[in-house]
Amino acid sequence: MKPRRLEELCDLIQSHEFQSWWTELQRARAEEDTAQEREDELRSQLALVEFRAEHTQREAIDALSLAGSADDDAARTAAESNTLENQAYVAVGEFEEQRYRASDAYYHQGAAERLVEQCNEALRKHPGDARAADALAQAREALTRSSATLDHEERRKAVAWARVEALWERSTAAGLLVAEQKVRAGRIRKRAERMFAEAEERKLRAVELRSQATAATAARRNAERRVNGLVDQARVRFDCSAGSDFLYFPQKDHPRHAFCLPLVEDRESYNVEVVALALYTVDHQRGISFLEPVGTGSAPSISEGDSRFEEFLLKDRGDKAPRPS
Amino acid sequence: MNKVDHLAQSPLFERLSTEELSYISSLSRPTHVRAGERIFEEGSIGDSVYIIIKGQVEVSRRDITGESKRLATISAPDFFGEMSLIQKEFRSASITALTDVELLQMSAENLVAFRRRYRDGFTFIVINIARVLAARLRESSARLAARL
Repeated sequence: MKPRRLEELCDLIQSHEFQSWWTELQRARAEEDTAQEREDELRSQLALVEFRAEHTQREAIDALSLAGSADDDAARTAAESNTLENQAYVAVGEFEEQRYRASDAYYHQGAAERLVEQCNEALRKHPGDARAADALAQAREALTRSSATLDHEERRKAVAWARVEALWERSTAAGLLVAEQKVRAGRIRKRAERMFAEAEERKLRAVELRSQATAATAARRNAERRVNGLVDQARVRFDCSAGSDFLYFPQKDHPRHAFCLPLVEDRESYNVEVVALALYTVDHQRGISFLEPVGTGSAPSISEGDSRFEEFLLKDRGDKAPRPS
Repeated sequence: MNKVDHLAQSPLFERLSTEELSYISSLSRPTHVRAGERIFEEGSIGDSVYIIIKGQVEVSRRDITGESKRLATISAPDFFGEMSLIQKEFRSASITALTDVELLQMSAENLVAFRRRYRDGFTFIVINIARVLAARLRESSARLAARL
């Protein structure tokens, strides 16, 4: 590489050849950025769609299992409802038997009442008849027993009927629940099927995205190759060494220093705010870890008219009055 | 306003020529700090001076009990961090952004690069730092005298 003076380098940067190369490099870099953005976007979409497909499939499997549980619940409730209905039939039979027993007690009580009336009549006709009085007393005792029996049987009849009604009620409730559980199971199964379909759609979308992402990667690599090719060209065309972000030109009068030409903008990573195509000096040891901007001017000497020190240090001192003590 | 205009307003660069300001601007690095963020911590090692372009920062220091006390609030176009640049000691105070702050950071090494090209300009920067420190010393002396 031929060492250069600053002026030569400035001329090179201004030359048509360099400027057209720079325009081409910027275009290639813009294409690389666009390709990189597209690849990142597609990879991100792909990851999201794959995750959602997997998640939906898991949800669908869970839903299917839930539908199976709901079916089991419905079958259990239906069996419970049948059992209750059978128990209700038995209870109705028991109630009928009790109803007969209560009817029988009722007829017995009627007969006991009539016997008491007959004994009363006989005693009225033959007052003081000891046998008639004794018969009346026995008839009254029999009536009391019959009444107690009737009450007992009527209570048992009421209890038997209450049991029948309770069993019917439970059986009806279970029957209604069975229908609801069956509908629920069906609804869950449909949801599971919908989710399986969604998962399949997403898997297909993922396949499509993967193919697009692969194409985007290829496009990005092409753009990268184009950028690298242009930087390689710079080495030959402009007789310099090149990194990915800087071109380096040896300095004519300072063998341990090089001019450094950034191909990027960067305000964070270096000791100064790096501006593309601004010139910097670097030494061979530290390279771009310390960039020194190349200024074209230099400070004027006193003979050239820089009188700032005189103005600052000497002016306005004699004019001041002493400070009051 | 561009970087040069901002730097021209700073007392740190008073009396510097346009050419010197332009060069020092190329040596400064813009930094953005969000409100509430610590710019540097008392006791840390520092080698940079910061010029405030926009916003306000708080200067604070821990007392004997370790409690942080606010010493001052400074805003554009003032600067801070010059003490450890000159004295090469640990930072004597903490600086925290009170608002979103735009700063220009200038490291000691970048100032040396400036000195290589503009010796008189560099001398004025040192004089300006000395003037600010002298003003602060006068203020502290006055406060101390008032308390005695």
